Amino acid sequence: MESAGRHTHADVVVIGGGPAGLAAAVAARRAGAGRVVIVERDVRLGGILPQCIHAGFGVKWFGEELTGPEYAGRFVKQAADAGAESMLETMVLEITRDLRVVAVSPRDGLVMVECGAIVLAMGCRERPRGALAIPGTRPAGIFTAGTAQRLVNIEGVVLGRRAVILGSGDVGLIMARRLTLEGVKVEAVVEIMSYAGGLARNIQQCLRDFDIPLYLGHTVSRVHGRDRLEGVSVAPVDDRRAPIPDKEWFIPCDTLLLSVGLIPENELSAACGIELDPATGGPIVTDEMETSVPGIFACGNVVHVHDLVDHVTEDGMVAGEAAAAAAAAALASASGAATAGAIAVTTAAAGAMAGAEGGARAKGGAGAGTRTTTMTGTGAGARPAHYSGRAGVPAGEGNGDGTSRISGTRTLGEIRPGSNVRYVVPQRFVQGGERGGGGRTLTISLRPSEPAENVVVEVSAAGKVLRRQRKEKVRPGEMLQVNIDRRTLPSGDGVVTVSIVSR
Amino acid sequence: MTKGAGEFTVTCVACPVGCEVTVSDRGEVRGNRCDRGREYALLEHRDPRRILTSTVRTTCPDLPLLPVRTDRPIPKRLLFEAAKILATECISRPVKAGDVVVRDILGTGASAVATDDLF
Ligand SMILES: Cc1cc2nc3c(=O)[nH]c(=O)nc-3n(C[C@H](O)[C@H](O)[C@H](O)COP(=O)(O)OP(=O)(O)OC[C@H]3O[C@@H](n4cnc5c(N)ncnc54)[C@H](O)[C@@H]3O)c2cc1C
Ligand code: SF4
Repeated sequence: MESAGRHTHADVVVIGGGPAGLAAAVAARRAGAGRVVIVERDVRLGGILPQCIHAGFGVKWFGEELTGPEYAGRFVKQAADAGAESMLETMVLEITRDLRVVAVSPRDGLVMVECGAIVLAMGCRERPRGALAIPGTRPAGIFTAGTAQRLVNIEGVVLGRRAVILGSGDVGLIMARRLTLEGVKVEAVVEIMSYAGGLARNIQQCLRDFDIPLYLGHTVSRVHGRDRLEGVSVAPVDDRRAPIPDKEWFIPCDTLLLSVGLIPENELSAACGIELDPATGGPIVTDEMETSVPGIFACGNVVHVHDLVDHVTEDGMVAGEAAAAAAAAALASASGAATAGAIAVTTAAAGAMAGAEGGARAKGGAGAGTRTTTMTGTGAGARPAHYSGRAGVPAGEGNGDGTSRISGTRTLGEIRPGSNVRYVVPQRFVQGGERGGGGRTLTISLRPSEPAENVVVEVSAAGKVLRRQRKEKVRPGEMLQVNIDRRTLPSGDGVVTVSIVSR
Repeated sequence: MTKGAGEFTVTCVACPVGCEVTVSDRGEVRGNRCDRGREYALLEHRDPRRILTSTVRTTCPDLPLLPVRTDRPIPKRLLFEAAKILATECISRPVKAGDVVVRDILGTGASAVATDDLF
């Protein structure tokens, strides 16, 4: 692959132009990275947001309730103003441990970019229907909720007249309201679990506002219809989540939406040998959002599925800033070893990287002709020695062994989920690190396994409780965050456990 | 919790706790953990309002639909009718996010504004 196509350089390459990637690009530029390029396979920037036309974005970040396109618009502008470039309609095919990105676009063919750091921001995809074995026929009229959202909100397709939604995730709830207001009769939302998947706010404003029934502990037990969907059978489920046949009833409908979960998009990460967390489906990351491969960072839904975009933006900012530092460190260490002239100042080829022409309405910003200092010597064997020379980040004591060291030169502590915690992010923390999560504070995001009331989120290490935070209610559909003071963290490669316990 | 005849129950969305707040027919509020919930439930009972988000058709082949929102919440009972008005609209001129697309919907004083650029 290496000889084919165009060859270029960038300090930071961001894969994916959704809110995570846009924030990372903004932060990387603000942190001083020279050439920052967003590679996006779609014709425009914004990720999933352009199809999320409802309001509910940015309450935390901007202090106002924006729609998806508005939220995306603000960050597309910030990225352009910050001088990030974009390559649209360009699909990344491969990333390598020595920090090369191989992509393909209809216009440029194969493109190979050597980088100082990579940020993964590929988002997630919907759990496909095939993964669910619903008995019955396979007629037309069955869609995943996100696909339905794109068809209705972007393309203006009329899906049908009567709909049933399987799964109570946010996408399905939002679509229940949207379809209802478009004149479709939404007969029911059917959820196999005993609790709703989406945000409480969406249950109220998308279902109860319109008297749409929500059947908890139920599932679609059969699909009917030959060419077009004619209806579904719905039944309550037993303890093993199997439908109880004699309680089944029939709901006539011509449309079935599946809102049964999202999976982080990590084919590229897995192929490059990045360590994934089975609980999140995303890369294991440090509090600086660095993956197990030095110089490759990750943020947003590719790390774990977020319910609020504001947190995606926060992650992206951390990842972008850290990636800029890693790229600078790589450059510095390469110039230290520049005996063989490994550094070259190149002028980025004009045009090809300036994404704004790609048929897109979003402008990629200062592209053409930017003078960028890039490394040319990052080939095999010359992997940039990240961090080793980075100022302000002292290497921790207690080096050596330990499974918890995922980044070459620093000691990492580990954060693990305890009782009633499905997962935690980050799963590692940098000893002595001050940046991730902001200065002295380390922010841990977590999701409960089961809903519970009157609980305490407890952070502990070596039998000592570091932090207790009371919560009235916790639900798997709502991500929690807990802040801890870094000075209380165990030294060396210690283990921190986060649990949800009753009060 | 049993629900009396004229009672009204709503999930408070003012914070993530999501209390189930009930307003009795005599206007007594219960189930709220704080004052914000009381305010919210009383307003929901008296005059529930929502921002309407929708789309209007366009003549632009690259963007057949333009996303819009009302610039302020409108009475909940008018949502369907307002959505119908937007469904009959078609835009053939360039607009920027924030531009008014339909003025004063159903006498509410609220306008539908574009949430994205067109052309
Ligand atoms: C229906 C729905 C409703 C939501 N409602 C709300 C809400 O009300 N409030 C709220 O705060 N949040 C909401 N969210 C959540 C929020 O939208 C997401 O958390 C956020 O968009 C995730 O951002 P991201 O950048 O990680 O991923 P995405 O937005 O998915 O962006 C990923 C991008 O990467 C690109 N990409 C992937 N692979 C490649 C590749 N190989 N090469 C090049 N490009 C690639 C994709 O094309 C895409 O543009 C909602 C989400 C959905 C789906
Ligand atoms: S009543 Fe108070 S505590 Fe309960 S959801 Fe509303 S704002 Fe939150």
